[in-house]
Amino acid sequence: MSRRSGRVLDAYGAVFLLLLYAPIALILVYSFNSNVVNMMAWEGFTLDWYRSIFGLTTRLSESQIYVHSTEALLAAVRHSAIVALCASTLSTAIGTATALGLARHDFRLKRVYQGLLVLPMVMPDIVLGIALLIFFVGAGFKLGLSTIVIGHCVFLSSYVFVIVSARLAGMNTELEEASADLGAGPWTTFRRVTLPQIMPGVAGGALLAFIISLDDLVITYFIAGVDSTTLPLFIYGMLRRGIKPEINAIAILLLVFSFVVAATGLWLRSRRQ
Amino acid sequence: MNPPVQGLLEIGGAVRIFRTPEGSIVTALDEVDLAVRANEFLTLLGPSGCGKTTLLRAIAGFEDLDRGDIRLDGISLAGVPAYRRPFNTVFQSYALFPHLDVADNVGYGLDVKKLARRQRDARVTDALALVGLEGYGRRKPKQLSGGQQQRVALARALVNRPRLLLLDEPLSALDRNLRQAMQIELKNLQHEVGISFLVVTHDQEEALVMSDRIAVMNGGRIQQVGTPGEIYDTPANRFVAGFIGVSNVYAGTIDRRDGPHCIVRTDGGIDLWARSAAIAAGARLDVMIRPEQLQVVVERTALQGPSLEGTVERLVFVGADLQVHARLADGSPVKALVRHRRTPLAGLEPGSAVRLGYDPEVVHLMAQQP
Repeated sequence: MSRRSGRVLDAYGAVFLLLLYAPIALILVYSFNSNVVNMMAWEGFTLDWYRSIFGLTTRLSESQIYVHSTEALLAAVRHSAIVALCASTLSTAIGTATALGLARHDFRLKRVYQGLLVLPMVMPDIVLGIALLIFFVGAGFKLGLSTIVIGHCVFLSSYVFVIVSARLAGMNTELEEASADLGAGPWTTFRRVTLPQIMPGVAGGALLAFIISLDDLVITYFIAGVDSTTLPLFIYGMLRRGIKPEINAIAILLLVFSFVVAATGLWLRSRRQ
Repeated sequence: MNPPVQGLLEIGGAVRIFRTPEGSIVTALDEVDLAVRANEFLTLLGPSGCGKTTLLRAIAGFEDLDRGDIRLDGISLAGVPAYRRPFNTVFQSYALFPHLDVADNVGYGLDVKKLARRQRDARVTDALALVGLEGYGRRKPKQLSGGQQQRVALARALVNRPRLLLLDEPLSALDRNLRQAMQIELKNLQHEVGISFLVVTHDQEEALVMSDRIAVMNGGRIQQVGTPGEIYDTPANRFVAGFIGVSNVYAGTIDRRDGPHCIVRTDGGIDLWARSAAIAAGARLDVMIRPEQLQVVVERTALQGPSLEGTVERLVFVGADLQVHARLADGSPVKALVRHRRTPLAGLEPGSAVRLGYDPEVVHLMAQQP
């Protein structure tokens, strides 16, 4: 490759990364900007936006903040955490069991089954949201945290299924035969051989499910009840009253949390190997 | 009515038919009968695809039979899952658990049986000592060489004291020198532990070295069962003769009888003398003679007894011996062995005429395959 085309590629890479990360970097900067009128003009460093979220005293006036009730924000965080934990746990169990069943057994219409299982991943969120809403209302469910959990499981199970299936495809089935050969029944074989082998896939699937559930807006919007506002719904509600710097602070906190979750996952994985 | 118990494990009329993804039907096992005796080293020998691995997997319980029966001590194993069969397998790929260390791999079967900790540890230590891997307990399988992994797989199976040890191409992943050492070692190990070994292999040399008995398989059928000597000297048919060792086989017809001998005329019109029991003249059969039983002399040298006339095509040096590839008068190939000497046999070169003397006692007659 010539030096010139090398330089062009370098420049392209730099522009690409800039466009990808500059908006996020700006949010980070804005979240510490003390300018209350125009957050795009730097005035000075402040932690007020973070303090305001947590209901601490600030020098901001009532009209400059939206989070009038820290309780409401914390309730939204709590709802999101409950939903993400329940939905990721359930969908990990469902997705893993499905992947095992399809990988280890042959039956009629298996391909059709596999296709139907990935469909929720490509289906538009809005369609899934409307369909779930009609189903829940028709079936007489009271919209709330439980309907959000069920709705999330519908598509999160697909993600877990795909990830665990990929891991199972790379696993030597002779290991399971060896376990049976040494006297282990199906459950012991699963617990002592299969699960340890596919653990990176299961953990990765669970992590992905958790993160997706945590920030899902569209589907949740349709199937949430009045008293089950999740964090993305809460932020969306705030946005409708104009963009204020507190949004930036919340976004950065969410980002840091996601990083911590992902990093913990990676660390656990590397430690195991 | 059950047939009388002959051995530890008996397979009767085993049939297994597979349907390939392309839709064709493969008969992997075709009416297989076989008995494994107590404390013997039995080898299933055959080319790839002959059904030997299917048979091993059916015994282990990984594969169901379409027809027929497998009996242990006279009791059918039909419907008994692999984990309830008192057999253990050494897999071709070893199938060691990569997330467990060597001691936990070996102790797996004992842990599943919930053996007391102290007893379990003692047996694991003994098993590792048996295969010469003392002190390797805390290593992971990945940190071991192929030969060491093989030993771990052996220890993991033997520690459970199975009624029968099944080994699927156990030495195929090892290099040649190690393989030859392990052949002897496996045989010694079998003798030491007193457990019947059933080994699947496609390597005839391996089978001859290790086995008490060999079962030769082809096309889903058992072709012959016998000691290595029986299989080598008196193969049941053309396939067995060709698969084990080097052989010269000709199709022919009994031409006439002369005292204790009969004369077989090959389809190419060459007469061969053989000692045989009463076989009527006119019977079709295959006649075999091993290369080392042909005495090579250059033309016009006097020979006692019958001989064949041939023309040398090429000489192949195989170490201790010189292999003489020649053609008989009718053009059919013949191989003979000459002990290698620094100064070669005068007049033995490509194109020269040779006589191949033989003793009718060692000419072997075989029924023709359908």
